[in-house]
Order: sequence, then C-alpha cells, then structure tokens
Amino acid sequence: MLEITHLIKSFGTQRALDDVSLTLPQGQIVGLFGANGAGKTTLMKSILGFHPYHGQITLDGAPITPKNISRLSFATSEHSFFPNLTAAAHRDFYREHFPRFSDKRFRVLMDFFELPAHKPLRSFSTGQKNQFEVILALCQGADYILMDEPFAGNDIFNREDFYKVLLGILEPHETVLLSTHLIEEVSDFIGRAVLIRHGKIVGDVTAEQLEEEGKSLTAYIKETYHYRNDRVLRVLEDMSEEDRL
Amino acid sequence: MKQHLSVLGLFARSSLLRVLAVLLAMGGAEIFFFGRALREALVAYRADIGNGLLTPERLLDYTAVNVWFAAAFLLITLFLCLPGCEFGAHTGYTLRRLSVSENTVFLWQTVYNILIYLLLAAAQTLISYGLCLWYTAAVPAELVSNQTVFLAFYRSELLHALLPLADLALWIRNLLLLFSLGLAAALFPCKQRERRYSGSIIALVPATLLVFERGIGEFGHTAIAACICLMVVCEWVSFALVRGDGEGGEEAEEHA
Repeated sequence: MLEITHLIKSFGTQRALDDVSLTLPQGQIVGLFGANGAGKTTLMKSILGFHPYHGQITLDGAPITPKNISRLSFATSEHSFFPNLTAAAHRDFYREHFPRFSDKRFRVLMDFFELPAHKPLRSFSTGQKNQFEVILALCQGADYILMDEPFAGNDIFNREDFYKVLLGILEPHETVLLSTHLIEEVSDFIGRAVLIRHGKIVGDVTAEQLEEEGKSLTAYIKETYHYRNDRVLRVLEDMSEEDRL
Repeated sequence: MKQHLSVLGLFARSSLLRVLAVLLAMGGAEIFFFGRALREALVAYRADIGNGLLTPERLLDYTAVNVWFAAAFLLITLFLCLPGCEFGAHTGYTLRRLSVSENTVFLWQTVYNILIYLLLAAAQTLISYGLCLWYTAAVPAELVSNQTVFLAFYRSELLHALLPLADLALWIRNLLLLFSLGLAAALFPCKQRERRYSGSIIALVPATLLVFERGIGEFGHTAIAACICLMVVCEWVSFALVRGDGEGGEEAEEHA
C-alpha cells in the first residue's frame, strides 16, 4: 500500500501541496484530476522522491528509498527515456536495473503500437515517444505505475487503443495513478477518482459510489470544483453590455 | 556488476559510434594530407629544389595534424558532454530510479570519458607513428636512420605531448589533464540535470588546447594542468556537497 500522510510541498512561498493525505492500495486504477497547476505533477514527483517535502510517504510501511523505488514506475509527457538510444537498447538497459522487467509485455506492446525497435527514440514522432514512455513504465514490473499526462499529443484512436490494452494487460496487484485532463475518456475504466485543487485533495470517490449516486464523473468533478455553468455566459453578457455603452 | 557495466554501456551506446566516426575522419584527413605533402616534398627533393620538408615532424606540422587533432578533441568533448543531459527528455527521472546510485552513474560516466580521451590520444599516437613509418618507407635511404621515428617523437611538440617518453613531468601533466577532462565532461550533464551550470569544461577545453603542445622542459605547463585539475575537483566537491545538503535536507524534512 502506498500511503501519503500530511504531505506539504512548497516552492518558495507558494504552497504546491497542502497537507495531502492519500492511500493507494494495490490493484486500483486511480484517476488524478485537477486544473493546471493544481499539484498533480508535484504530487507524483514527491512520491518518486524527485522533490524534497514535509510529511511522510511510505510503501508498505517503509519510506521510499533506492531500495524499493523499483516498485514505482513513472511515465511522463516530459519523457524520461534516453533520446539517443534505440528501443531495444532501452530494453537491455532496463532489464539490468529492474529485475522484474517483463520482456514479454515489452514485446507485445512494441508490436501492438508498431514501434521500431532499432531506431533512436529522437527520431520517433511525439505520439510514438509517448507510447514508448508508457511501455517502459508498464514493463518495469512496478506495483505502482504513475502516469502524468502520458497521452499529451496522441490522437483519440491511439488513446482508445491504449485504454483497451491497459485494461487487458494489468495484473491484479498493479496500481495505476493516472493524471489526465481527459475526464470523459478515462471515466469508463478508472475505479477511483481523486480530485486535487490548489494543492489540496478536495474529492476522493470510487466508481461504485458514483454509480450509486447516479452521477457521472464529469458532473462530480464540476460539482466538487464548484464549476459555474453560467460563467461564460455572464462574461459574454458583460462584454456586450460594455460594447453597448 | 552487470548493472554497473550497463551504465557504462549506456554512455557507450550514446556516443561511441560518433566518437569512432570522428577518429576515422581525423585519421583519414591526416593520412590524405600527409600523403599529399610527402609526394610534394619528394618531387621537390628529386628536382633538387630543396629538402626543407623532408623530416617526419616537419611534414606532420605542414599537414596540420595538430589542427585535426584539436578539431577531433572538440567534437569528442561535445559528444561526451551530451549523454545524460536533459535535452529532449528528462533522463534524470530514470537515472534517479536505477538500481545503482546517481553517484555511481557519475563515476562510470567519468571513467567512460577518460577511456574515450585515452582512445583519442592513442589513436593520434598510432596514426602519427604510422605516418612516420610511411615516411621512412617512402623517402630515399640517405634521409632515414634508425633514429628517425624516435627523434620525430622528441622534436614534434604534438608527438612529444602524446608520448612524452622519459619526460616524467609531462606524463603527470597528461594524467592530470585526462582526469580533469573526464571529470569535467561528466560534471556538465550531471549539473545540467539539476538546472545548474558547469563552467569547468568550458574553461578546460581551451586551456588544454593551449597547454597540450609543448616542448621538452617546460614544467610550468604541468603546474598549470595541476591548477586546472584542482579547479575541476573543487567544482566536483562543491557540487557533491550542495547535492549532499539537498538530500540531507530532504531527509530532515521527511522526518520533521
């Protein structure tokens, strides 16, 4: 279980994460939603130890250190691979450092996305780079797979394919924490939604709870975020009034 | 050990082919221009115009071997500095999650860089030696003695710097430069990943080009090399201390 307790992260005087507490048991697909700058990426990077922070993050009761960091993997739209290396070279390299690296999964996903194994990654398109980033994260044998906007730049067909593959290949012990703005697209396959706003967790709901309440994920998010439907209309009215004057 | 070798392999895969291409180009250019100069010198000698060029060290100077060597050195330094930098991807996210520590990655990158600089020096020495042998085979017997190649390595400043023979001070200087260059080229990507700027390699490259070629008995250059080495080591230590503080701070914050 990944447990985050009273996590506080500040950049200068700006508080990016404000007393965040969250528990992620194994075997869930969790959507992490929030506006730009809400703290999604900071939360993920803090979990991975890329940022210093106040509070506590533990994995099965133990702090996250180089000893257990391989139980977490990370796919980011910023990309974390080596652009000059080929996909095959990445496989060889990751195999040495992540003992649970799955060759089979790597092969299957490479075939599925039709990615070239012997071309340097710098020659891949943005969509292909995203796909490869996700492949690497899924093949490391990690129990917790953190994905930060992994499909930025991919077309809808590509993303649909990916969701189907993800559901098909995940093992029962694998947890995915998926940060995305594509709420409608992921609403069908996530089991839980966590909402973050101004660095605070403002909502945490399971798919079953939403079903019981008869709410869609989008409606729940809008409600939790106090989204005002009339906001745009009011601005337009104000502008036209100013024009009249 | 496999993990360690894979880190070495990571850097080799990122730059070795380019480095070999540079060495091939350097060798090709030197052989081509040396051959042309040798032909011209032999024609002049046979026409009794003069034999001013007819020593291997003069031919090597005329061929501008030092310029080709300097160009190769600059390109190779560039290729060594790039792997591990975050241009186009945040490789640091992966490097921090490996089964070996980031310090170990840094160490292996330093080792790899030193090996590549050694390869450059060895390649240049072998090419120069080969060119000298070519000279001895091509010129009339009266121009050659069994000391010709040996003397060329003493008289040519570049060849003497590459293979200082009995010049102990120069051997020490070369070792200091080799260590400093390897370390500085590894510091550059390491600091770049943390959005810091490493000035060592920028200062070290022109300094190396300035002091590398020198004649016998100029001990001042060894002192300069020692100062350069000290400067790079200081940057490394200060970086390690700052990073150490950061990690310590992180731990302290975690337990707060």
